[in-house]
Amino acid sequence: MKRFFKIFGYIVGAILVIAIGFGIYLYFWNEDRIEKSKELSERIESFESKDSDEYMEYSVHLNKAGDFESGFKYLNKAVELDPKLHLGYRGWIRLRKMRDYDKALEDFDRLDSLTPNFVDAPWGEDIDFLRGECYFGKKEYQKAIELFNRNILNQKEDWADVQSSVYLGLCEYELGNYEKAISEFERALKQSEYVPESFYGMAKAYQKLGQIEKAKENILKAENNTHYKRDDVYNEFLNEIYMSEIQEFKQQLNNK
Amino acid sequence: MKKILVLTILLFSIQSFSQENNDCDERALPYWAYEINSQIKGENPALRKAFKEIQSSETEIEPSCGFITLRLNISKTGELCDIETFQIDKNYKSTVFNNGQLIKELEQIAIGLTDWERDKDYKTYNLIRLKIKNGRIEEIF
Repeated sequence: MKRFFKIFGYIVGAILVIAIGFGIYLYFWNEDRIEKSKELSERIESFESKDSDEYMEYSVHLNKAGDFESGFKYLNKAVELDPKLHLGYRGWIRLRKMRDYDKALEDFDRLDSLTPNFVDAPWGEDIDFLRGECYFGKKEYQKAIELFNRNILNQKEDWADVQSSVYLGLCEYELGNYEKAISEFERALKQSEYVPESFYGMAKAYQKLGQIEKAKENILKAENNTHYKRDDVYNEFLNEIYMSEIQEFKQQLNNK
Repeated sequence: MKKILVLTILLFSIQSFSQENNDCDERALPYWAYEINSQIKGENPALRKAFKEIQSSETEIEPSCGFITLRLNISKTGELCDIETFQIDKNYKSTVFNNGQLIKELEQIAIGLTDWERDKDYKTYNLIRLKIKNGRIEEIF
């Protein structure tokens, strides 16, 4: 029995020593990590770094938190060091987080000129789709149509972002071409049957054409498919739809 | 031994009474982190409705172009703790719109927004972004 307690004591002691040792290692590892991170921040803030990625990464949390003056100080430096690598991201931030369409377009166009015969994809999205969104935001619908169509052509009909056709429908709607708008929304629905943005757009176009029953039919479909809507917790899309707006429009239709 | 025990309990009791439990003192986590998904009830259309009046009344904002961000720090119980503001011109340099009057009015509207919802109970922040163009508030998102 005495021997058992002795062995038990050794085991507990060994575990304690390992645990304390691990704790001390963790403490110093963390101290080292903090020190390195501090050094990196100082190097970036004093613009001593020559690594464009470091500036770009440093800008991310600032821009995401809405401090664009500070964020762009570092993002601009990243672009200055390696324009081909960071122009697309800067344009994307300008479009999605600031809606600064003119400056976003400047970045996308400059990137495009630096990469001839190559279709760029800033932050994973087709450059012509993003340029189309910029023109849509600027209310230059004819130019937006050209860019969204170019995106579909580049990516091929079934592979292009389904929202390209939705935007085409929205552009035609804004230009007053309601029948053409409906055919573009239908084009999106051919690609995927669950596109509430298309149903919503069709409801509005049918209402303009005075076909209220068809408008009602489509607004119901939009309502029932809202959970499939294009959504991003970080950003609001220019063509984002909301349940409250769908229901408001449905009410308007029902009052007719 | 008994005295030590009583003293310890007493000390702990005093300590617990002296700690003021303020949800706003917690560190704010970004709205995108840990699936907090914080947002105003009614989402962005509700925001746009709240700012609709000032959007139509302010037509000669100076400087005429730029961006305003309101960063609203919201406690885990949905209470507005404070608002940080960022005002930049079209070149993303610090500026003050309407000599500081516009931001005061925007803050007052933001204070009135009370229906903040979230999936997880952490202190977080939400952003309200306003784009100023040709002397007007062109977009709110």
